[in-house]
Amino acid sequence: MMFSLTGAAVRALTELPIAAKFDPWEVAPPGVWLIFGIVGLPVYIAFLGWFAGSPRNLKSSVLGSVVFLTFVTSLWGGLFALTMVIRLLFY
Amino acid sequence: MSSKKATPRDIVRPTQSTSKWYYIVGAVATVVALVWVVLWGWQLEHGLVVTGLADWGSGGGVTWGLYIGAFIWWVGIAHGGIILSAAVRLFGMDRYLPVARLAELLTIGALSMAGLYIVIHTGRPDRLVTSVVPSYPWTVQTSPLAWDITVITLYFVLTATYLALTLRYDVHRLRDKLPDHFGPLYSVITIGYSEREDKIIERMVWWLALGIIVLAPLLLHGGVIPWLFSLLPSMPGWQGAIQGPQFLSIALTSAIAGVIIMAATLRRAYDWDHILTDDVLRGLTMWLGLFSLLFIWLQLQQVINGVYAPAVDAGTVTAAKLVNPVYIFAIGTMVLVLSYIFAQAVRASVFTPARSVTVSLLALAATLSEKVLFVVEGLEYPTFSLYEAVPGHYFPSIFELASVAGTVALCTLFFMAVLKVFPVIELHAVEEHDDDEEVST
Repeated sequence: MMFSLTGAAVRALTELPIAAKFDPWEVAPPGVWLIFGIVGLPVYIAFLGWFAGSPRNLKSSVLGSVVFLTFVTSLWGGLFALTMVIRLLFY
Repeated sequence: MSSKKATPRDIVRPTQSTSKWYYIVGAVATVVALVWVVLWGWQLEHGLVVTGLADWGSGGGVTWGLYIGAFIWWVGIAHGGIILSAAVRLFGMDRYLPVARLAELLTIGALSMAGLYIVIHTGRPDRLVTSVVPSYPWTVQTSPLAWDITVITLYFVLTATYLALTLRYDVHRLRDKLPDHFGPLYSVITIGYSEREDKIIERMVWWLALGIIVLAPLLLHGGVIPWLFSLLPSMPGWQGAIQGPQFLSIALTSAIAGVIIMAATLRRAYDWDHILTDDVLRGLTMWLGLFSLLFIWLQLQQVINGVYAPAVDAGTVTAAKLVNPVYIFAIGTMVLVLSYIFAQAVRASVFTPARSVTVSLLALAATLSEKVLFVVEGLEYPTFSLYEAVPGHYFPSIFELASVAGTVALCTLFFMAVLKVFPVIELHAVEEHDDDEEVST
Protein backbone atom coordinates (compact mmCIF):
# COMPACT_ATOMS: atom_id res chain seq x y z
CA MET A 1 0.00 0.00 0.00
CA MET A 2 2.77 2.36 1.13
CA PHE A 3 4.87 1.52 -1.92
CA SER A 4 2.00 2.05 -4.29
CA LEU A 5 1.29 5.49 -2.75
CA THR A 6 4.95 6.53 -3.00
CA GLY A 7 5.10 5.18 -6.51
CA ALA A 8 2.01 7.14 -7.45
CA ALA A 9 3.46 10.33 -5.93
CA VAL A 10 6.77 9.90 -7.78
CA ARG A 11 4.90 9.22 -11.00
CA ALA A 12 2.73 12.28 -10.50
CA LEU A 13 5.78 14.49 -9.91
CA THR A 14 7.79 13.16 -12.85
CA GLU A 15 4.86 13.26 -15.20
CA LEU A 16 3.90 16.89 -14.46
CA PRO A 17 3.57 18.83 -17.69
CA ILE A 18 6.68 20.93 -18.42
CA ALA A 19 4.65 24.08 -19.06
CA ALA A 20 1.88 24.71 -16.57
CA LYS A 21 -0.86 26.97 -17.80
CA PHE A 22 -1.85 29.97 -15.74
CA ASP A 23 -4.35 32.36 -17.20
CA PRO A 24 -5.11 35.31 -14.93
CA TRP A 25 -8.20 36.02 -17.03
CA GLU A 26 -9.74 32.84 -15.62
CA VAL A 27 -9.34 34.11 -12.05
CA ALA A 28 -10.62 37.63 -12.72
CA PRO A 29 -10.13 40.17 -15.50
CA PRO A 30 -6.66 41.73 -14.99
CA GLY A 31 -7.97 45.23 -14.30
CA VAL A 32 -9.85 44.02 -11.25
CA TRP A 33 -6.84 42.75 -9.32
CA LEU A 34 -4.30 45.08 -10.95
CA ILE A 35 -6.10 48.36 -10.36
CA PHE A 36 -8.11 47.66 -7.22
CA GLY A 37 -5.65 45.18 -5.71
CA ILE A 38 -2.18 46.52 -6.57
CA VAL A 39 -2.36 50.07 -7.93
CA GLY A 40 -4.85 51.06 -5.22
CA LEU A 41 -2.59 49.84 -2.39
CA PRO A 42 -0.58 53.07 -1.93
CA VAL A 43 -3.84 55.04 -1.72
CA TYR A 44 -5.40 52.60 0.78
CA ILE A 45 -2.24 52.77 2.90
CA ALA A 46 -2.28 56.59 2.89
CA PHE A 47 -5.90 56.65 4.07
CA LEU A 48 -5.21 53.93 6.63
CA GLY A 49 -2.33 56.03 7.94
CA TRP A 50 -4.61 59.06 8.24
CA PHE A 51 -7.32 57.25 10.18
CA ALA A 52 -5.33 54.66 12.14
CA GLY A 53 -1.78 56.04 12.30
CA SER A 54 -0.31 58.22 14.97
CA PRO A 55 -0.52 61.12 15.63
CA ARG A 56 -4.04 61.57 14.27
CA ASN A 57 -7.31 63.30 14.93
CA LEU A 58 -10.58 62.58 13.27
CA LYS A 59 -11.20 66.20 12.26
CA SER A 60 -7.98 66.41 10.23
CA SER A 61 -8.50 62.98 8.68
CA VAL A 62 -12.02 63.93 7.61
CA LEU A 63 -10.75 67.27 6.30
CA GLY A 64 -8.14 65.44 4.20
CA SER A 65 -10.79 63.04 2.87
CA VAL A 66 -13.12 65.92 1.95
CA VAL A 67 -10.27 67.70 0.14
CA PHE A 68 -9.47 64.46 -1.72
CA LEU A 69 -13.08 63.92 -2.81
CA THR A 70 -13.47 67.60 -3.73
CA PHE A 71 -10.51 67.34 -6.09
CA VAL A 72 -11.85 64.13 -7.69
CA THR A 73 -15.21 65.83 -8.25
CA SER A 74 -13.77 69.09 -9.51
CA LEU A 75 -11.35 67.32 -11.86
CA TRP A 76 -14.06 65.28 -13.57
CA GLY A 77 -16.67 68.02 -13.17
CA GLY A 78 -14.30 70.53 -14.78
CA LEU A 79 -13.56 68.11 -17.61
CA PHE A 80 -17.28 67.56 -18.12
CA ALA A 81 -17.87 71.34 -18.25
CA LEU A 82 -15.04 71.77 -20.79
CA THR A 83 -16.40 69.01 -23.02
CA MET A 84 -19.91 70.48 -22.85
CA VAL A 85 -18.56 73.89 -23.89
CA ILE A 86 -16.87 72.15 -26.84
CA ARG A 87 -20.20 70.50 -27.70
CA LEU A 88 -22.03 73.82 -27.62
CA LEU A 89 -19.44 75.56 -29.76
CA PHE A 90 -18.58 72.89 -32.31
CA TYR A 91 -21.20 70.13 -32.53
CA MET B 1 26.83 81.21 -2.55
CA SER B 2 25.12 84.25 -1.16
CA SER B 3 25.40 85.15 2.50
CA LYS B 4 21.99 86.90 2.48
CA LYS B 5 19.49 85.57 5.01
CA ALA B 6 16.28 84.14 3.56
CA THR B 7 13.15 85.57 5.17
CA PRO B 8 9.38 85.02 4.74
CA ARG B 9 9.27 88.46 3.13
CA ASP B 10 11.38 87.04 0.29
CA ILE B 11 8.97 84.24 -0.50
CA VAL B 12 5.85 86.45 -0.63
CA ARG B 13 7.51 89.06 -2.85
CA PRO B 14 6.05 87.63 -6.09
CA THR B 15 2.54 88.21 -4.71
CA GLN B 16 3.32 91.85 -3.90
CA SER B 17 5.29 93.21 -6.84
CA THR B 18 5.08 92.76 -10.59
CA SER B 19 8.03 93.39 -12.85
CA LYS B 20 8.09 94.50 -16.47
CA TRP B 21 9.30 91.01 -17.42
CA TYR B 22 6.25 89.45 -15.81
CA TYR B 23 4.00 91.38 -18.22
CA ILE B 24 6.21 90.65 -21.22
CA VAL B 25 6.37 86.89 -20.55
CA GLY B 26 2.64 86.86 -19.76
CA ALA B 27 1.81 88.65 -23.03
CA VAL B 28 3.98 86.34 -25.14
CA ALA B 29 2.57 83.22 -23.46
CA THR B 30 -1.00 84.49 -23.96
CA VAL B 31 -0.43 85.13 -27.68
CA VAL B 32 1.15 81.69 -28.19
CA ALA B 33 -1.67 80.00 -26.28
CA LEU B 34 -4.32 81.90 -28.27
CA VAL B 35 -2.73 80.99 -31.61
CA TRP B 36 -2.85 77.34 -30.61
CA VAL B 37 -6.44 77.61 -29.31
CA VAL B 38 -7.47 79.00 -32.73
CA LEU B 39 -5.76 76.05 -34.44
CA TRP B 40 -7.40 73.60 -32.07
CA GLY B 41 -10.73 75.27 -32.84
CA TRP B 42 -10.04 74.65 -36.53
CA GLN B 43 -9.34 70.99 -35.73
CA LEU B 44 -12.60 70.74 -33.74
CA GLU B 45 -14.51 72.37 -36.58
CA HIS B 46 -13.12 70.13 -39.32
CA GLY B 47 -12.21 66.99 -37.39
CA LEU B 48 -9.00 65.22 -36.38
CA VAL B 49 -8.44 64.46 -40.06
CA VAL B 50 -6.82 67.91 -40.48
CA THR B 51 -3.81 66.54 -38.58
CA GLY B 52 -3.58 63.46 -40.80
CA LEU B 53 -3.82 61.29 -37.68
CA ALA B 54 -7.34 60.14 -38.37
CA ASP B 55 -6.51 59.05 -41.88
CA TRP B 56 -4.78 55.69 -42.36
CA GLY B 57 -4.25 56.50 -46.02
CA SER B 58 -1.32 58.80 -45.29
CA GLY B 59 1.62 58.99 -42.92
CA GLY B 60 2.56 55.32 -43.13
CA GLY B 61 -0.35 54.11 -41.04
CA VAL B 62 0.43 56.35 -38.06
CA THR B 63 -2.68 57.30 -36.11
CA TRP B 64 -0.88 58.30 -32.92
CA GLY B 65 1.85 60.90 -33.27
CA LEU B 66 3.05 64.04 -31.56
CA TYR B 67 -0.14 64.33 -29.50
CA ILE B 68 0.44 61.01 -27.74
CA GLY B 69 4.22 61.56 -27.57
CA ALA B 70 3.63 64.94 -25.92
CA PHE B 71 1.06 63.40 -23.58
CA ILE B 72 3.70 60.93 -22.31
CA TRP B 73 6.25 63.75 -22.11
CA TRP B 74 4.00 65.95 -19.95
CA VAL B 75 3.14 63.06 -17.63
CA GLY B 76 6.88 62.45 -17.33
CA ILE B 77 7.58 66.08 -16.43
CA ALA B 78 4.80 65.87 -13.85
CA HIS B 79 6.79 63.22 -12.02
CA GLY B 80 9.70 65.28 -10.95
CA GLY B 81 7.83 67.50 -8.89
CA ILE B 82 6.00 65.39 -6.50
CA ILE B 83 8.65 62.69 -6.29
CA LEU B 84 11.22 65.30 -5.33
CA SER B 85 8.86 66.74 -2.76
CA ALA B 86 7.95 63.31 -1.39
CA ALA B 87 11.64 62.40 -1.15
CA VAL B 88 12.24 65.57 0.90
CA ARG B 89 9.61 64.44 3.41
CA LEU B 90 10.31 60.71 3.45
CA PHE B 91 14.09 60.65 3.28
CA GLY B 92 14.89 63.97 4.96
CA MET B 93 16.48 65.48 1.84
CA ASP B 94 16.10 68.95 3.34
CA ARG B 95 18.59 70.44 0.94
CA TYR B 96 15.81 70.36 -1.69
CA LEU B 97 13.06 71.78 0.54
CA PRO B 98 13.22 75.18 -1.24
CA VAL B 99 12.19 73.54 -4.54
CA ALA B 100 9.60 71.16 -3.03
CA ARG B 101 6.52 73.32 -3.63
CA LEU B 102 7.73 74.46 -7.04
CA ALA B 103 8.03 70.81 -7.86
CA GLU B 104 4.52 70.02 -6.59
CA LEU B 105 3.13 72.86 -8.72
CA LEU B 106 5.02 71.51 -11.72
CA THR B 107 3.20 68.23 -11.18
CA ILE B 108 -0.20 69.94 -11.18
CA GLY B 109 0.58 72.11 -14.22
CA ALA B 110 2.21 69.35 -16.27
CA LEU B 111 -0.42 66.75 -15.44
CA SER B 112 -3.15 69.20 -16.49
CA MET B 113 -1.41 69.59 -19.85
CA ALA B 114 -1.19 65.80 -20.20
CA GLY B 115 -4.93 65.55 -19.49
CA LEU B 116 -5.57 68.25 -22.06
CA TYR B 117 -3.74 66.15 -24.66
CA ILE B 118 -6.22 63.34 -24.06
CA VAL B 119 -9.03 65.79 -24.82
CA ILE B 120 -7.21 67.18 -27.88
CA HIS B 121 -6.54 63.77 -29.36
CA THR B 122 -10.13 62.59 -29.05
CA GLY B 123 -12.13 62.72 -32.28
CA ARG B 124 -15.24 63.86 -30.40
CA PRO B 125 -13.97 65.37 -27.11
CA ASP B 126 -17.54 66.35 -26.18
CA ARG B 127 -18.26 62.65 -25.70
CA LEU B 128 -15.21 62.00 -23.53
CA VAL B 129 -16.78 62.15 -20.06
CA THR B 130 -20.18 60.84 -21.06
CA SER B 131 -18.64 57.76 -22.68
CA VAL B 132 -15.79 57.08 -20.23
CA VAL B 133 -17.64 57.43 -16.92
CA PRO B 134 -20.78 55.30 -17.53
CA SER B 135 -18.76 52.45 -19.07
CA TYR B 136 -16.00 52.54 -16.45
CA PRO B 137 -17.16 49.50 -14.38
CA TRP B 138 -16.69 47.34 -17.50
CA THR B 139 -13.74 49.01 -19.24
CA VAL B 140 -11.56 49.04 -16.11
CA GLN B 141 -11.64 45.26 -16.09
CA THR B 142 -9.66 44.92 -19.29
CA SER B 143 -8.70 48.24 -20.86
CA PRO B 144 -5.24 49.77 -20.21
CA LEU B 145 -6.74 53.12 -21.29
CA ALA B 146 -9.21 52.92 -18.38
CA TRP B 147 -6.32 51.97 -16.05
CA ASP B 148 -4.39 54.95 -17.32
CA ILE B 149 -7.25 57.35 -16.60
CA THR B 150 -7.68 55.85 -13.13
CA VAL B 151 -4.06 56.24 -12.10
CA ILE B 152 -3.68 59.74 -13.59
CA THR B 153 -6.78 60.81 -11.64
CA LEU B 154 -5.35 59.33 -8.43
CA TYR B 155 -1.96 60.94 -9.01
CA PHE B 156 -3.47 64.36 -9.70
CA VAL B 157 -5.80 64.21 -6.70
CA LEU B 158 -3.14 62.94 -4.28
CA THR B 159 -0.79 65.73 -5.39
CA ALA B 160 -3.45 68.43 -5.14
CA THR B 161 -4.46 67.19 -1.67
CA TYR B 162 -0.81 67.18 -0.63
CA LEU B 163 -0.43 70.77 -1.83
CA ALA B 164 -3.68 71.94 -0.22
CA LEU B 165 -2.74 70.48 3.17
CA THR B 166 0.79 71.93 3.20
CA LEU B 167 -0.51 75.36 2.14
CA ARG B 168 -2.63 75.70 5.31
CA TYR B 169 0.42 76.20 7.52
CA ASP B 170 1.99 78.80 5.23
CA VAL B 171 -1.15 80.75 4.37
CA HIS B 172 -2.16 81.04 8.04
CA ARG B 173 1.21 82.40 9.08
CA LEU B 174 1.78 84.67 6.10
CA ARG B 175 -1.81 85.89 5.81
CA ASP B 176 -1.03 89.52 6.66
CA LYS B 177 1.62 89.62 3.90
CA LEU B 178 -0.55 88.09 1.19
CA PRO B 179 -2.82 90.19 -1.07
CA ASP B 180 -6.22 91.04 0.42
CA HIS B 181 -8.15 90.48 -2.80
CA PHE B 182 -7.58 86.73 -2.48
CA GLY B 183 -8.88 86.79 1.11
CA PRO B 184 -11.91 84.51 0.46
CA LEU B 185 -9.64 81.92 -1.16
CA TYR B 186 -7.24 81.99 1.79
CA SER B 187 -10.23 81.59 4.15
CA VAL B 188 -11.30 78.45 2.29
CA ILE B 189 -7.77 77.01 2.35
CA THR B 190 -7.35 77.60 6.08
CA ILE B 191 -10.88 76.60 7.06
CA GLY B 192 -10.94 75.18 10.60
CA TYR B 193 -7.18 75.72 10.97
CA SER B 194 -5.59 75.57 14.40
CA GLU B 195 -1.90 75.36 15.23
CA ARG B 196 -2.58 72.15 17.13
CA GLU B 197 -3.13 70.39 13.80
CA ASP B 198 0.37 71.13 12.47
CA LYS B 199 1.99 67.91 13.65
CA ILE B 200 -1.00 65.83 12.54
CA ILE B 201 -1.17 67.43 9.08
CA GLU B 202 2.59 66.97 8.74
CA ARG B 203 2.09 63.26 9.42
CA MET B 204 -0.85 63.05 6.99
CA VAL B 205 1.33 64.63 4.32
CA TRP B 206 4.01 62.05 5.14
CA TRP B 207 1.48 59.26 4.49
CA LEU B 208 0.50 60.92 1.21
CA ALA B 209 4.18 61.20 0.25
CA LEU B 210 4.59 57.49 0.96
CA GLY B 211 1.64 56.65 -1.28
CA ILE B 212 2.77 58.98 -4.06
CA ILE B 213 6.38 57.80 -4.14
CA VAL B 214 5.16 54.27 -4.88
CA LEU B 215 2.21 55.15 -7.10
CA ALA B 216 3.81 57.71 -9.40
CA PRO B 217 7.09 56.09 -10.48
CA LEU B 218 6.31 52.39 -10.19
CA LEU B 219 2.64 52.19 -11.10
CA LEU B 220 2.02 55.23 -13.30
CA HIS B 221 5.02 56.07 -15.44
CA GLY B 222 6.67 52.71 -14.87
CA GLY B 223 3.29 50.97 -15.01
CA VAL B 224 0.05 51.94 -16.73
CA ILE B 225 1.60 54.40 -19.23
CA PRO B 226 4.11 51.92 -20.72
CA TRP B 227 1.41 49.22 -20.57
CA LEU B 228 -0.63 51.32 -23.03
CA PHE B 229 2.03 50.25 -25.54
CA SER B 230 3.94 47.24 -24.27
CA LEU B 231 0.87 45.02 -23.87
CA LEU B 232 0.06 45.23 -27.58
CA PRO B 233 1.54 42.13 -29.20
CA SER B 234 1.55 43.37 -32.80
CA MET B 235 3.92 46.33 -32.36
CA PRO B 236 7.50 45.09 -31.75
CA GLY B 237 8.79 48.63 -31.23
CA TRP B 238 6.50 48.97 -28.23
CA GLN B 239 6.78 45.53 -26.75
CA GLY B 240 8.69 44.18 -23.81
CA ALA B 241 8.89 44.53 -20.05
CA ILE B 242 11.84 46.92 -20.48
CA GLN B 243 9.36 49.65 -21.44
CA GLY B 244 8.47 50.13 -17.73
CA PRO B 245 11.97 51.14 -16.55
CA GLN B 246 12.66 52.87 -19.89
CA PHE B 247 9.58 55.09 -19.59
CA LEU B 248 10.40 55.81 -15.96
CA SER B 249 14.01 56.80 -16.66
CA ILE B 250 12.89 59.17 -19.43
CA ALA B 251 10.16 60.61 -17.18
CA LEU B 252 12.57 61.28 -14.34
CA THR B 253 15.06 62.87 -16.75
CA SER B 254 12.51 65.31 -18.13
CA ALA B 255 11.02 65.91 -14.68
CA ILE B 256 14.28 66.98 -13.04
CA ALA B 257 15.07 69.08 -16.13
CA GLY B 258 11.72 70.86 -15.66
CA VAL B 259 12.41 71.55 -11.98
CA ILE B 260 15.89 72.94 -12.79
CA ILE B 261 14.48 75.31 -15.43
CA MET B 262 11.76 76.57 -13.09
CA ALA B 263 14.04 76.97 -10.09
CA ALA B 264 16.72 78.81 -12.08
CA THR B 265 14.16 81.08 -13.77
CA LEU B 266 12.52 82.09 -10.49
CA ARG B 267 15.89 82.52 -8.83
CA ARG B 268 16.83 85.00 -11.56
CA ALA B 269 13.46 86.74 -11.57
CA TYR B 270 13.19 87.26 -7.78
CA ASP B 271 16.84 87.40 -6.71
CA TRP B 272 16.41 84.14 -4.83
CA ASP B 273 20.02 83.05 -5.16
CA HIS B 274 20.16 82.81 -1.35
CA ILE B 275 17.15 80.44 -1.31
CA LEU B 276 17.54 78.48 -4.54
CA THR B 277 21.28 78.30 -4.09
CA ASP B 278 24.02 77.07 -6.42
CA ASP B 279 24.22 74.06 -4.14
CA VAL B 280 20.56 73.17 -4.81
CA LEU B 281 20.84 73.68 -8.58
CA ARG B 282 24.09 71.73 -8.79
CA GLY B 283 22.58 68.90 -6.75
CA LEU B 284 19.55 68.78 -9.08
CA THR B 285 21.89 68.75 -12.08
CA MET B 286 23.67 65.72 -10.61
CA TRP B 287 20.31 63.95 -10.31
CA LEU B 288 19.63 64.87 -13.93
CA GLY B 289 22.92 63.19 -14.78
CA LEU B 290 21.98 59.99 -12.96
CA PHE B 291 18.59 59.73 -14.68
CA SER B 292 20.10 60.61 -18.08
CA LEU B 293 22.60 57.81 -17.60
CA LEU B 294 19.79 55.35 -16.88
CA PHE B 295 17.95 56.60 -19.99
CA ILE B 296 21.00 55.97 -22.19
CA TRP B 297 21.72 52.60 -20.55
CA LEU B 298 18.20 51.31 -21.15
CA GLN B 299 18.39 52.51 -24.76
CA LEU B 300 21.56 50.45 -25.10
CA GLN B 301 19.72 47.41 -23.78
CA GLN B 302 16.99 47.84 -26.38
CA VAL B 303 19.39 48.50 -29.23
CA ILE B 304 21.66 45.52 -28.52
CA ASN B 305 18.65 43.22 -28.24
CA GLY B 306 17.24 44.69 -31.44
CA VAL B 307 20.37 44.25 -33.58
CA TYR B 308 22.25 41.16 -32.33
CA ALA B 309 19.97 38.31 -33.40
CA PRO B 310 16.49 39.80 -33.40
CA ALA B 311 13.22 38.40 -34.62
CA VAL B 312 12.50 39.80 -38.09
CA ASP B 313 9.89 42.35 -36.96
CA ALA B 314 11.97 43.61 -34.00
CA GLY B 315 15.05 43.91 -36.21
CA THR B 316 13.16 46.00 -38.75
CA VAL B 317 11.93 48.55 -36.21
CA THR B 318 15.35 48.77 -34.51
CA ALA B 319 17.11 49.35 -37.83
CA ALA B 320 14.58 52.04 -38.74
CA LYS B 321 15.10 53.71 -35.36
CA LEU B 322 18.88 53.70 -35.52
CA VAL B 323 19.03 55.56 -38.84
CA ASN B 324 16.27 58.01 -38.01
CA PRO B 325 17.68 61.57 -37.57
CA VAL B 326 15.26 62.17 -34.69
CA TYR B 327 16.73 59.24 -32.75
CA ILE B 328 20.29 60.32 -33.56
CA PHE B 329 19.41 63.82 -32.30
CA ALA B 330 17.83 62.47 -29.10
CA ILE B 331 20.68 60.16 -28.15
CA GLY B 332 23.42 62.57 -29.30
CA THR B 333 21.83 65.31 -27.21
CA MET B 334 21.65 63.09 -24.14
CA VAL B 335 25.34 62.22 -24.55
CA LEU B 336 26.09 65.96 -24.68
CA VAL B 337 24.00 66.53 -21.55
CA LEU B 338 25.83 63.73 -19.74
CA SER B 339 29.21 65.08 -20.82
CA TYR B 340 28.48 68.46 -19.25
CA ILE B 341 27.16 66.91 -16.05
CA PHE B 342 30.20 64.66 -15.81
CA ALA B 343 32.48 67.66 -16.34
CA GLN B 344 30.79 69.71 -13.60
CA ALA B 345 30.92 66.71 -11.28
CA VAL B 346 34.67 66.41 -11.79
CA ARG B 347 35.37 70.14 -11.70
CA ALA B 348 32.89 72.26 -9.78
CA SER B 349 33.95 75.45 -11.54
CA VAL B 350 32.41 74.14 -14.78
CA PHE B 351 28.95 74.48 -13.19
CA THR B 352 26.88 77.60 -13.78
CA PRO B 353 23.08 77.91 -13.41
CA ALA B 354 22.81 79.06 -17.04
CA ARG B 355 24.62 75.93 -18.28
CA SER B 356 22.39 73.71 -16.15
CA VAL B 357 19.33 75.37 -17.66
CA THR B 358 20.75 74.87 -21.16
CA VAL B 359 21.36 71.14 -20.64
CA SER B 360 17.91 70.84 -19.03
CA LEU B 361 16.30 72.38 -22.13
CA LEU B 362 18.34 70.02 -24.32
CA ALA B 363 17.27 67.05 -22.17
CA LEU B 364 13.61 68.07 -22.56
CA ALA B 365 14.02 68.35 -26.34
CA ALA B 366 15.68 64.91 -26.41
CA THR B 367 13.02 63.21 -24.27
CA LEU B 368 10.18 64.71 -26.33
CA SER B 369 11.85 63.62 -29.59
CA GLU B 370 12.49 60.09 -28.33
CA LYS B 371 8.95 59.68 -27.05
CA VAL B 372 7.32 60.91 -30.24
CA LEU B 373 9.56 58.66 -32.33
CA PHE B 374 8.77 55.71 -30.06
CA VAL B 375 5.03 56.21 -30.63
CA VAL B 376 5.34 56.79 -34.38
CA GLU B 377 7.78 54.00 -35.24
CA GLY B 378 5.86 51.51 -33.15
CA LEU B 379 2.90 52.12 -35.45
CA GLU B 380 4.88 52.38 -38.69
CA TYR B 381 6.65 49.04 -38.27
CA PRO B 382 4.15 46.49 -36.98
CA THR B 383 4.51 42.72 -37.13
CA PHE B 384 3.89 41.30 -40.65
CA SER B 385 4.55 44.77 -42.14
CA LEU B 386 0.85 45.38 -41.88
CA TYR B 387 0.99 48.93 -43.28
CA GLU B 388 3.73 48.42 -45.87
CA ALA B 389 1.41 49.49 -48.66
CA VAL B 390 0.28 52.62 -46.81
CA PRO B 391 2.11 55.50 -48.47
CA GLY B 392 4.20 58.19 -46.84
CA HIS B 393 5.83 58.73 -43.49
CA TYR B 394 4.48 60.54 -40.50
CA PHE B 395 5.43 64.16 -40.02
CA PRO B 396 3.66 66.28 -37.37
CA SER B 397 1.15 68.77 -38.72
CA ILE B 398 1.10 72.45 -37.79
CA PHE B 399 -1.79 71.69 -35.42
CA GLU B 400 0.32 69.22 -33.47
CA LEU B 401 3.47 71.35 -33.47
CA ALA B 402 1.48 74.36 -32.26
CA SER B 403 -0.01 72.26 -29.46
CA VAL B 404 3.44 71.79 -27.88
CA ALA B 405 4.05 75.56 -27.89
CA GLY B 406 0.47 76.15 -26.74
CA THR B 407 0.64 73.78 -23.78
CA VAL B 408 4.05 75.13 -22.72
CA ALA B 409 2.50 78.62 -22.84
CA LEU B 410 -0.54 77.49 -20.83
CA CYS B 411 1.69 75.87 -18.21
CA THR B 412 3.73 79.10 -18.01
CA LEU B 413 0.54 81.12 -17.51
CA PHE B 414 -0.55 78.70 -14.78
CA PHE B 415 2.71 79.32 -12.92
CA MET B 416 2.48 83.06 -13.39
CA ALA B 417 -1.02 83.01 -11.90
CA VAL B 418 0.07 80.86 -8.94
CA LEU B 419 2.99 83.21 -8.27
CA LYS B 420 0.46 85.98 -7.59
CA VAL B 421 -1.65 83.92 -5.19
CA PHE B 422 0.55 81.65 -3.04
CA PRO B 423 4.14 81.51 -1.86
CA VAL B 424 5.82 79.03 -4.22
CA ILE B 425 8.53 78.30 -1.69
CA GLU B 426 7.53 76.59 1.54
CA LEU B 427 7.73 78.70 4.66
CA HIS B 428 9.63 75.86 6.34
CA ALA B 429 12.44 76.40 3.84
CA VAL B 430 13.16 79.88 5.16
CA GLU B 431 11.96 79.58 8.77
CA GLU B 432 15.27 78.42 10.13
CA HIS B 433 16.74 81.73 8.98
CA ASP B 434 13.84 83.73 10.21
CA ASP B 435 13.66 86.28 12.96
CA ASP B 436 10.46 85.70 14.98
CA GLU B 437 9.03 89.10 14.20
CA GLU B 438 8.96 88.35 10.48
CA VAL B 439 6.11 85.87 10.83
CA SER B 440 2.73 86.65 12.28
CA THR B 441 1.42 83.77 14.36
